[in-house]
Amino acid sequence: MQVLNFEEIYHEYWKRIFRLCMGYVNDHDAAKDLCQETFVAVFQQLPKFRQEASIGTWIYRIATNICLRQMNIDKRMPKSELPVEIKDNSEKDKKLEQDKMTDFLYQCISELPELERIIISLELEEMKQAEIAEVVGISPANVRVKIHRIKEKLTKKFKNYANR
Amino acid sequence: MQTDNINFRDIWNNKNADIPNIQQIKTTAEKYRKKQLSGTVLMMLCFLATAFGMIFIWNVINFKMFTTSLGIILILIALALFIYLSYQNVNVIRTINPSISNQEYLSSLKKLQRQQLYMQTKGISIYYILLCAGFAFYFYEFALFMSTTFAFLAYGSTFLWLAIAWFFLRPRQIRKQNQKISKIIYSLETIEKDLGE
Repeated sequence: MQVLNFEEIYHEYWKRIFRLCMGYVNDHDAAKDLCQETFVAVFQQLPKFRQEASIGTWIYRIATNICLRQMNIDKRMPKSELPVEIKDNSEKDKKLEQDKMTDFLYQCISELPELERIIISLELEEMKQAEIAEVVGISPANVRVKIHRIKEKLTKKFKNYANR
Repeated sequence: MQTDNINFRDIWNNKNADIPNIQQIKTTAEKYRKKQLSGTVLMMLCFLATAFGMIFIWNVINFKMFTTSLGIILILIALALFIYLSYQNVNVIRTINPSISNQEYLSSLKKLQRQQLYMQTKGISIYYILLCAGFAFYFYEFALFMSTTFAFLAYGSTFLWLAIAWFFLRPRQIRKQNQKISKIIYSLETIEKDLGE
């Protein structure tokens, strides 16, 4: 059995879990708090982890469940503002444009229904569909269908965004 | 902007943030552990105090009538129940193991909320009944030595207050709990619906 070191796990997964939480709430501070909650739980549960699932699946399960239970605090968290000026922007900086797209993507994802937010975030984290199915608790076929639908929705939103 | 074949993954990975110090996680974990422990200790102390109170009343204070002791004991039990209900209200969600699948987690959350709803609404009623019966028994011995008018007044005012609590305060408390928990259950059900589609 592989020996699991909390520090290694923390550094390997923190950014991924942060992106997942960002996709869920689209609020930098709230995402950081969720991330902290997740790693506190990971830290506490690690000695009990039996490695029946892969460590990734296990951590993502904890993170997504912690996101889900947030609704006990607030069903819809305040979303950060949509970037306003897009086309008539004199700023030619490519980096800035890319950041805006990123902000827009996170905004779109955070507006999806709760489970769709989780599914698409895991997909974007390059998790296998079978593993996503394990995290969420639905069939892999269902995951595939959902991912397809969510990507369609996002593409549509991006097209509208570009045509503004 | 190119929209024919958007590479969501690249856009997604562009989000960056600094990793906070790991020590923060360990400190928070320790804080949670201590908080949970002190909560449990506090509750145990309350129960012990109740138990000692009962033993004390039974053995040391020598009321002539059994009903007086019984009254005090019922009031103490009511208070212990009240403490338990308030404690139960805090942080029960942390008791569910978070490493199960979302579907299982949602149904555990729902089950827990339903249990809590039952405990909070039924528990409040039981609390008032115990308190009411406790006062009735407790006053009995004293009422025997009072004049009829005085006894009537003492009983009357006590029960008037309890009636107000039963008919006004209790429904309000129950309604508040009910609203809060039902809202959560409803949100859980909405999320669960998405699982099936």
